[in-house]
Amino acid sequence: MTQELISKKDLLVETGISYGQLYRWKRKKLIPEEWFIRKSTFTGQETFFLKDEVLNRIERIKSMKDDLSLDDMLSVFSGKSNDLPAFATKQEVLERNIVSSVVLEQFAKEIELDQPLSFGDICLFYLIDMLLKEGQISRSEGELIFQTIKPHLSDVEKHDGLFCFGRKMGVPIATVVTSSGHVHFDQEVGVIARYSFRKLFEEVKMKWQGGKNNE
Amino acid sequence: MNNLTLIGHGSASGGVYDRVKINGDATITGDIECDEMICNGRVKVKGNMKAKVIRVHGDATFEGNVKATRIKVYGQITVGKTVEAKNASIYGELKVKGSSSFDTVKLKGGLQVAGDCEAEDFHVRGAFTIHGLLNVGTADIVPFADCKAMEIGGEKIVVKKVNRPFGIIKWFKFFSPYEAEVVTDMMEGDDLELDTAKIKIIRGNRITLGESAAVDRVEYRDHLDKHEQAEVKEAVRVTA
Repeated sequence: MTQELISKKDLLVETGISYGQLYRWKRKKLIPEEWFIRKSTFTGQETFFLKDEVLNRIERIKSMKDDLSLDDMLSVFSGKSNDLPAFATKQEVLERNIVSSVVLEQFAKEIELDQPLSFGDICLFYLIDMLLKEGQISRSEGELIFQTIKPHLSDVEKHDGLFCFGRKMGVPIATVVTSSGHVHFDQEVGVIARYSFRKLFEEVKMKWQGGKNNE
Repeated sequence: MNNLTLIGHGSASGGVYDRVKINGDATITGDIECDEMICNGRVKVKGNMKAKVIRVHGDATFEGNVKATRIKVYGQITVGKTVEAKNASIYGELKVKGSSSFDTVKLKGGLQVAGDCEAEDFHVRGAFTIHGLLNVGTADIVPFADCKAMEIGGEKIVVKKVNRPFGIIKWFKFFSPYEAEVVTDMMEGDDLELDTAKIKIIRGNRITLGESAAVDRVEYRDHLDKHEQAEVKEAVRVTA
């Protein structure tokens, strides 16, 4: 799967931001250095981005920039958030509607309501919950995903990674790729879900903050 | 108080100190962390350096990363890896083999960076060579010698000519038409005001070009103001 690229110039036109803003966000590390892909074109070297990834990020920066300072935003995007405690209780997760009770019952049955869950676990539950809601996986496949990712959570929290879920002839396959890279299956494998962990962590953080604002 | 003072020829293994003062020739073999480092002679730090203030009147070589609140260079500093500093005042020369990131830079001497250079406020009355991207909030540049960067990007970039009022320099200039300029492949920013520059592509919102600007291609969004002597091969208005 090759992702679509967008040139810097088109990006600015599409999002309506200026060069100054883009460079500013880069200086503040809101747009990571690795996202700037340099390629040579007939006008010389040009900078490109992965279209979906960067458009998504810029939309989010734009929507948050009235409420949050650039430094606060950085903590939302990077692995270290000041706002989200590493541990939230099961009760809080339910209250903020991050994970449905069905999933929590299945995977965290033995944990009491006021007991804390780790951030990694919450993200994992959120992912399974989302896939279940969309009807892409069954509950037993949820279990498989849980067992697959769980041992590698600390790794992907640190280095980012990719999660893929597919089926070949009805047999589910869950894959974790640590650090950013691509994963390729044989043609008979239907890939059902592909998720970057960084994106997943950000989504959960956004949900967490959104839940807090509604209070 | 835990101070380290080296006078003459000596070496130390590093560590955590309040004040480090070197008058002579010293080698520090490990990482060092201190409030203030003053080097009046020559120092070589083989590890990483972390300090509130680094003041170098002589010649300092840091082979690792340097992190400081304030750096003042009257002599020469060479950094093997990266530099991160709030304020940097460079009256001598700073050479960085990695990338560098500053809040404010006051450059009255020379700056050489092999990687990228970032600064919120970049004030130049000297010269720089940056092999990567120079990314600035505001830049106020008066080049005393050619200032080169592969790419320059930022919000407001102003390049002015050296103002030589009267006297011998003006006469000297009469015989040698050399004029220092900013040389880069690409410059992108919101407000660009360039008196003396040689650039392949400029992209920006509001662009003003002075008489000694030479540009291959200008892409502007709001307006372009150019001196009649400015050399512009191609100017295109980009509409959003």
